[in-house]
Amino acid sequence: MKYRLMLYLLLFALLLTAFEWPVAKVLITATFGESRGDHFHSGIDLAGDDQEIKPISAGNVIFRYDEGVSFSSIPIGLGCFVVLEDNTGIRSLYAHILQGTIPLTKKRFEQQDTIGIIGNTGYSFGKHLHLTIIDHKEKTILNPLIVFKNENKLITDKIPPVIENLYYRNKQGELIELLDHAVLNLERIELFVRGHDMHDGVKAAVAPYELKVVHNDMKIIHIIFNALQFKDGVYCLNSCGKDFSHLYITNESFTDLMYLGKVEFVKGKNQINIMLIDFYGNSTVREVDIWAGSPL
Amino acid sequence: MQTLFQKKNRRIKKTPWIAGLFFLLFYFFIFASPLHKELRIHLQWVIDLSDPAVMETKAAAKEILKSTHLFSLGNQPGDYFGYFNDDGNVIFVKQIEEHNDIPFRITLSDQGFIYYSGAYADLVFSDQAGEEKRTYNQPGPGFPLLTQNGNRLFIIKTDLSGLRELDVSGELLWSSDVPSWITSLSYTDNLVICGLGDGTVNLFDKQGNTISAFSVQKSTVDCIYGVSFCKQNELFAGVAGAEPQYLFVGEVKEQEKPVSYLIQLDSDFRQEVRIKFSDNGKLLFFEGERALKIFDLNSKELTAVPLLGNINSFEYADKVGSLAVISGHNNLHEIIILKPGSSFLFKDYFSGQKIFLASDENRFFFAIDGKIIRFDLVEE
Repeated sequence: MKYRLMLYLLLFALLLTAFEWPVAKVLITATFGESRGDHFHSGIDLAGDDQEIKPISAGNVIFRYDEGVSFSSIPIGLGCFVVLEDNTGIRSLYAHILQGTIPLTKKRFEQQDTIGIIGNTGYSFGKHLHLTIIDHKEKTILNPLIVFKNENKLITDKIPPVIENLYYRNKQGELIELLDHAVLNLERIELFVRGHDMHDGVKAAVAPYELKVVHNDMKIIHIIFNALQFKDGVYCLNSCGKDFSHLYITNESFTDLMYLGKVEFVKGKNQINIMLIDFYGNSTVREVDIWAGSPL
Repeated sequence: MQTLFQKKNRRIKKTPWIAGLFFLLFYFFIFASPLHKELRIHLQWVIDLSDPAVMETKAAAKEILKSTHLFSLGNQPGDYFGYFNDDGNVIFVKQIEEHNDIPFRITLSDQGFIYYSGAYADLVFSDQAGEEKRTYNQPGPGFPLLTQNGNRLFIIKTDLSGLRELDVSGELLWSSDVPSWITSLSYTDNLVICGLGDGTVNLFDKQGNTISAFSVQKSTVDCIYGVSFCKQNELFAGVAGAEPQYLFVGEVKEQEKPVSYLIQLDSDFRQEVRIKFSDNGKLLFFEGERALKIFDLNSKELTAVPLLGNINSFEYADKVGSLAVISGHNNLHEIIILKPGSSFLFKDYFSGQKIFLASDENRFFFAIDGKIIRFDLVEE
């Protein structure tokens, strides 16, 4: 509760601060909170070949790494990257920058300065900019979408998210697709969902912003991908307290399946409502009726 | 009050001829060789990796897997890596490739290497001759890091938010997230130290338990720019913060207050700096602004060796107490060899791009672009 209150205060403060998009043409190809196999995607990815990267706000250089030039004691999946900190303590991390385009002696970037050119360095499969925003004082990683204004309509999104499949785990531990009007001889199930979102003009499937699950008018889970906090040795979603290993299932058969929680059935008809909402307010709802025990 | 020395003097006055005899016997017994030995540089051999004959030598030397030394001339496509032995025979050599614009990467140890795709794939460990020995299935994307002796294998998460360790068979030993991106890492066979972007340092034991997590010093900029473990004892050191920047030295056993020395530096780096203890644990070397800084852990004295430009590499050979440093500016480089605290033994300039420097006892291995050179420091 305390963390949530702090987050809301922080978001309010951020709304008063002007942050600019780091690129002129905004094409979002990955969103905050997506699965990256063993960790949450801690920012957004912006495509657009050879675009110049500008700071989201003027700031001092905290760290920089340029492949082939800088020394590193570890292998760097972020590729060439720069971290800036503005005067409010907000840090912005720009990754996968084109090699050789980061000014190596600059210690401060004003908003009109160029940090580098979008590249494909590090763990990357095509030219893009990865942007992470960190509130250094509050030790929180923020969804970058919440700090940018969309006054110039740089993003148009009228496409609602898609709920692909629902699954439950049977007594043998196998994941079985849960279909509408299913009849289950179980008192409770563990529920899983796979879904995605799309933006206008971008082919990439991204994660939705919000997920709500209701069972017979009772909330099962409400996830908002707005911030990550480091607690007890792991990164947790601020909205629901889940860490990566408790939200995503990744194995050979299923990738990026979200675990929604346990549903305790009442005898007879049970209704499960799943709602996915994207950042721009488009939503999709699926209602599933399940008969617990045998049907009448 | 008489000192022992005065007593001795009195006795010597009484019997000067006996003292003289003793002195001569002592002199010829102890100093059988001349008094003023000098360190001299002996060039042993040069390998030209672009010479096709090198590959033939490699085939002939395949069974010679002792006294091998790794080399890596960078991590970019086209850069050479491999192994050679003391005699100048190349055991294995390969140039880094790329596939569909995704470059391969390399992590090398004394026992072998992992040459892996920048894309998510299983990891294959090969020995020094390039023979595939085992495959590791990865539980998630991450880049591998073999320790120099090859005893440990870490996987660094691609967003630098954590690390895990695998055993030789590929079983997960431990995994840990950290509260900020990892800026630097050092290890022994039992410990790991991570410097982080939020200005904190995390120490892990062999099981991955956090022994200690602490902030070093409040600077205007909180960030750790380099860490190093001493292999001889449980000392660690690092460079922390900017505006101002600090050198810190601490002890693992002091968990409550691990940092015991903190010295303000005149540097203001915003990237990882090179920092390394001498093998005997008496000296600490680290990168300064166009200088190599040397911190004597006994006298707590900090000295600087001025350099031509930024450091490319440095190596300290304990056996001969000598240091080789390569620094450069643009394409011009300088190599200097010196004994800390005395004048240069050798200094020269050269041009080139890809540089490598390693040492083993009194032997130095220096590589520039496609050539590897061995030179020995010998007392004569």
